[in-house]
Amino acid sequence: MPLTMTRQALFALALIVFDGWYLYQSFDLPRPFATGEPGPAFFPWILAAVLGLAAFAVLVQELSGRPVPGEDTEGARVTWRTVVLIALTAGFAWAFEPLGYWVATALYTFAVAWLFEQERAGALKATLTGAIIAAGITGAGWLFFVTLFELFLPEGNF
Amino acid sequence: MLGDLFGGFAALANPETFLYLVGGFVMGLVFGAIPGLTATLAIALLLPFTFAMELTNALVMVMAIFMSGIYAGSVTGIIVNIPGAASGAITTMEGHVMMKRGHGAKALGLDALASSIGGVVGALVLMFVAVPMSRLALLFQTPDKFALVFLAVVTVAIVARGSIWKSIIAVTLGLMVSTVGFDNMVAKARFVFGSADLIEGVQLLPAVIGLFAVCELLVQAGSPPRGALDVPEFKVTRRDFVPRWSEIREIGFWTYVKSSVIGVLVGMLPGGGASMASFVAYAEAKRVSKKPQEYGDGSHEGLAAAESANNAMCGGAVVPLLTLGIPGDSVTAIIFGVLLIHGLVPGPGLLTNEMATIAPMFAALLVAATFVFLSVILFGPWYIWLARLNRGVLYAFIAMIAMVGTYASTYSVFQMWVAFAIGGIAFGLRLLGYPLVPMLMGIILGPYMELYMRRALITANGDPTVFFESPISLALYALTGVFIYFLRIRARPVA
Repeated sequence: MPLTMTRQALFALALIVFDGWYLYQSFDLPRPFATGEPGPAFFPWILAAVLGLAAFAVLVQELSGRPVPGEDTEGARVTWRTVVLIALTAGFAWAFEPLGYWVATALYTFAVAWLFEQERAGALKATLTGAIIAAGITGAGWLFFVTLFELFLPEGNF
Repeated sequence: MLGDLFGGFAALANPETFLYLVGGFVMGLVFGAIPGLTATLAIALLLPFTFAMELTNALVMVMAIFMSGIYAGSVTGIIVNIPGAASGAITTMEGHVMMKRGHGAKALGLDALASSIGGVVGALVLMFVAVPMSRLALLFQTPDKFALVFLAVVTVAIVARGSIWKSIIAVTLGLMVSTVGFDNMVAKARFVFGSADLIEGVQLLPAVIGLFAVCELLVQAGSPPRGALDVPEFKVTRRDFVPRWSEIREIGFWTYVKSSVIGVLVGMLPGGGASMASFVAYAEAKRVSKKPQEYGDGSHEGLAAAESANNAMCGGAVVPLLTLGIPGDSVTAIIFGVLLIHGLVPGPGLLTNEMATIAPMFAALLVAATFVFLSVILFGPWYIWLARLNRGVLYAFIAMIAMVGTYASTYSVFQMWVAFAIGGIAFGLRLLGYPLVPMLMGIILGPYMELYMRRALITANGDPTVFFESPISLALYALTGVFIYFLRIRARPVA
């Protein structure tokens, strides 16, 4: 039977590589029972063994043409909007303290709202509704976190 | 004692105290339902204000937050597939499937009813059998605690649908995440790569936000603009939130009671918590179910079992705090603080000497449990309305709350990055059909599993037979075997 490298098999292979790296990192820790007690490396070693075994099982099953069933992915897929949202969220985390809550959150919520609205409402209408949504959510967030519960949010390095 | 208990209920008749109860209940609903905010955070925020409060009012408010906060974690889980707290993960799994089929009102109604029943059972146990039951918890030695956590971890892996290997991988990845940071027994940092931020490890809140909120946002971004968020039944009335008698009978009175008792027992154990309670009760309900194939696919039984146990845990968690002075989780640790602030020292003697002072706390827990069901009738249509909200508003709001909520509760941009990274990993796992709930449980249970394992081995000088010496441990391993047999071997699972 020919071996087929499926997406699942590739992921299992990646898990085995990650597992090896995790195990390698744990070699920096004191060896288990070297001083008579399990020590900090003992549990990671067990976990590395379990993960390695399970990933190997998935790999073998996939390569032998018996696909491993999984949970319902509920339509999860990658589109350009997923990639943009990943970039936006990373950008928000990066800009949150330097730009402060107001600017960073207004920009982020505007972009997220626009992303979800543009296919339904068109680019121009999505820009208008996105701006209104961003203003409302940013204001509501400040009222909730800072005014109501007196939590601290950054105001930016201006 | 009965007189004191009645006195507790009488205290709630005071309009001011009752307002604190209602205020606490609403606060718990808001904090519990919003991903990133938790009942723990709500009580922690309240702590400074309790200095100025009368003790009865403070205790009543805290207990109302605890009960409604635990319940509300499942509301957003059912509606938008993002549980407000980790404890709502199982309910989310079952309830959101019902929601997508247009049975959101039914899911919310069954959820609230189960929470109410569990909460009432937990409160009654707290009132009448707190002292004798706390002695039972004392019998658990370290190897027994390990056996209990082992049971929970195995249960988590076997109840997930699909391949057992994928579940094992997911739970192991969660356990691996839990090993990051400062070792909890010796002064040694693990897997931190020189980062000071990683020293304290991956906190639970960013992990929950990442696994559910960030991941769900990414899934929704990839979904078509229409139909991505399945609109529930078009018109709902408050009556739709009241479960039919036939549905309650189908779930079975015994399911509610047994799950509640499991919730109380797990709640009494330090480190037990609502998540473990819901998992063990869910697995047990599935084991004895006549329709195990429905689990994971909108099972009424599964939803009711998980949610009953969740809220019954509230009563159970307070038992060791009041009788032994041992807070089992973060919420009870803060309640410990509230009691200390007012000069009450939790531990042996508190209930016998101060029962009259403590009784309103018990009464508040019971009344708040009944409020849970009333709240869904009152606010249920609004909850459903959330799902029909414009997608731009809904997801921009969730994105803001998830990321800003992470920052506000940790004051750390690094934790925002952690939530983002875990969300990305979770999205990848979901694309490949790996279950996420086992990963979350791995993160939650990992520290306890390792701690109990190592402690047991240290006390036994490395002898592994220590895990099989106690009857309690053996019983728990036998129960693990029973779960494996009924949920995987006899059920003829795939792969």
